[in-house]
Amino acid sequence: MNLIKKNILRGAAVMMIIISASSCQKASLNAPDQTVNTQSLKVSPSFDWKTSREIMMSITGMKEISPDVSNTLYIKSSKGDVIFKDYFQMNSDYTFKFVVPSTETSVTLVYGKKTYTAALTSSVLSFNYVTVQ
Amino acid sequence: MKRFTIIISLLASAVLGFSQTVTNDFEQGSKEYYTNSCWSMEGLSMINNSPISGTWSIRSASLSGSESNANRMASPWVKLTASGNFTFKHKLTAFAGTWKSITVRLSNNTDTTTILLYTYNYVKPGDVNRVISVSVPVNVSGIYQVNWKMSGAGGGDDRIMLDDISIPGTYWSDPSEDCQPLKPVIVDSDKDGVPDDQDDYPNDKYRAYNNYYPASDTGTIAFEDNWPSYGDYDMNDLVMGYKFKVVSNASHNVVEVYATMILRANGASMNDGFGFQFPNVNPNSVISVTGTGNQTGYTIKSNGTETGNASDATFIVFDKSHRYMSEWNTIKTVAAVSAVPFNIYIKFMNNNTPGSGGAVNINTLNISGWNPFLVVNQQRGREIHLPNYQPTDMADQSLFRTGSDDTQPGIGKYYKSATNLPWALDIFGKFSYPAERQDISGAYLHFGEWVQSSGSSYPDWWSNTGGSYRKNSLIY
Repeated sequence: MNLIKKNILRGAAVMMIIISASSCQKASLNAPDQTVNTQSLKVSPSFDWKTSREIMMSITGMKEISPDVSNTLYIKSSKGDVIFKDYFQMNSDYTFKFVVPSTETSVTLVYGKKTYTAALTSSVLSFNYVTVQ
Repeated sequence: MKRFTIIISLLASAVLGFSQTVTNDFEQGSKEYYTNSCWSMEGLSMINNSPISGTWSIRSASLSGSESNANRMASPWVKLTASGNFTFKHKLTAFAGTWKSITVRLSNNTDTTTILLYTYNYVKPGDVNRVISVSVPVNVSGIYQVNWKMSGAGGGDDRIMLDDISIPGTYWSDPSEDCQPLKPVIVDSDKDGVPDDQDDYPNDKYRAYNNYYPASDTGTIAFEDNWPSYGDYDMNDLVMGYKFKVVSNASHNVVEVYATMILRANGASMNDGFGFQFPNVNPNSVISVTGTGNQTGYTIKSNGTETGNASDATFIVFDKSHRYMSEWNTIKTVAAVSAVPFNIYIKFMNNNTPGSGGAVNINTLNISGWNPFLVVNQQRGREIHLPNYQPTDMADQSLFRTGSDDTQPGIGKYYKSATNLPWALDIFGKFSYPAERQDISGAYLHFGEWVQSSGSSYPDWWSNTGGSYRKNSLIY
C-alpha cells in the first residue's frame, strides 16, 4: 500500500515538473508586448467582428420571358473569382445570400452574354436583368 | 384593367403552362426594360401623356420628313403555330403632312422574305387621335418577329402611338444570348437541364455545380479558449483553417458538402475539441458523414450528426486537439509540426433521394452562415462560438454571464464580454496568427483601429499590405 502511495506521489511530482517546465518555456520564450492590450479597446455593441460582408441578392425575373430561357448566373469578385453560381430561369424570382471579403468593393454578374457590374454600397443587391444596384 | 390582364395571364401561365401569347402593354414605362426583354425599338420613346390605354404607350418620333426608316419596332422572336389573331392598337397624334402610314410584317429567322400582316394609310382629319384596334389572323407557323414601320412625309409634330400588342405564339428569344432565337440545349449529356459547358458534372444527372466557400484561399477561425474568462488575446489557442465545397444539383438542392478543416495551431494547455453546425438544416437531412476525427465523449447518431441538437445539424470534427497535434505551433523556437487536415464528407442526397429530413436547398444551407465552435477541454457544455453566434443545444447555458462573459440571448448577444470583446475571430483568408502570448492588438498594428471604427478603418488589417500592417516579430 505504501509502495503504491509512494508511486502515485512520485508520478504526480513528475507530472508537476513537466507541466511547470512547459509553462515556463512558453513564458520565457515569448515575453508579451505590454504596450497594447485588446482588453482596453473601446468596442461598439453593434460591431460584428466580421472580416467579410454578407450580401442579400434579390433577383426579379422578367415575367413575360419563356421559362425555357435559363442560364447560369455567375457572381464574380473584382479579381474574377467565382463567388456563387447557379442555374436560373430568367422569368423567375430568386433570393439568396453570398459573402465577400470586407475589402471587396464591387461584384460582376454574368448571365449568358450579359454582364453587369455593381458597386457594393449596401448589404442588399437588386437585379432585374436590366440593372443591378 | 391592364394590371388585371397581367394577373389573369400569370394565373393562366400557372395553370396551363407558359402563356401562348406574347404581349406588350408598355406598362413597365421603361424602354430599357423592353429592349432587355428583346423588343427592338428604333426612334421610339415611352409616353405617358394621353396614352392609348393604361399609363404608358410607345410613340414614334415626328413623321414630318420624307419616309423614315428610323421609326421601327420589332417584337422578340415568337414561335407561331398558324392559329389565333395578332392584335394591337394604334393612334395618330396629328396630321399636318401629306401622308402617314403604318405597316406590320412578319420576318422569319431563316431567310429575308417577309409577310405583310397589316398596313394602314391614315386619313386626314378623321384619323387624328382615333384609336384603331387591329385584329389579323395569323396563318403561318415557325419562328418569326413582328416588325412595325411608321412612315410619313411633310407636316409638323405628327406621331404614331402603339399599345396593347398581343401575338398568338410562344416567346422564343433568349435575352441572355443577345436576343437570338431560343435554341434547345444542344449538348446536355446527362439531361439534367444544365448545358455541358456550364455543368461541373456533365455526365452526372444528380450533380450540376460546385460552389466554394471561401471562393478563393481558405478561411481561418482563431480561438481564445479560456471562456468564460478572458485569455491573453493571442488568438492561437486553437487555429482552424476551413474551406467548403458545396455540390448542388440542377434543382438548387445540396447533394453533398466537402468540408476541409485544418488544425493549424494548438497554443493551449487545454485539450480542446472542435465542431460546427449548419443552422436551420434538419439533422435528419444528413444521410452520412465521414472523415471526422475521434469523437470520444460525444454521442453521435448513425448518420454522423451529434445527438441532442434537434433542429440544426451538428458535426464534431475532433474531441482533443492534442491527440492530433503534438506541438503548439505557436512558439517560434520550438519546431513546428505539420497542420492536420480533416477531410469531412457530408452526404445529403443519394441518387437524388434526400435524407429523411428532406432535401436541403442551397439557400437553406447558406454555407457562409456555418457556426463553428470550440469545446473547452472536453467539457461538452463549455462551447465557444464566434461573437453573436448561437450555442448548440448541448451548451451549458448556466455558464453564460459568468467570468467575463456577457451573453444575453434576449438581445441576441452571445459570446461577447460586457465590453463586447469576443473569444473567436473568423478571418476571411489564411491568417498568420500571433505568437504565443502576443496580444493580437500588438501583432497587427491596425487591429485596434479596425475594432474601434466598427470595421470601417483597415478592413484588411490581417493582410500584409505594405510594411506597416503587422509586427512580424510577434507573429508566429
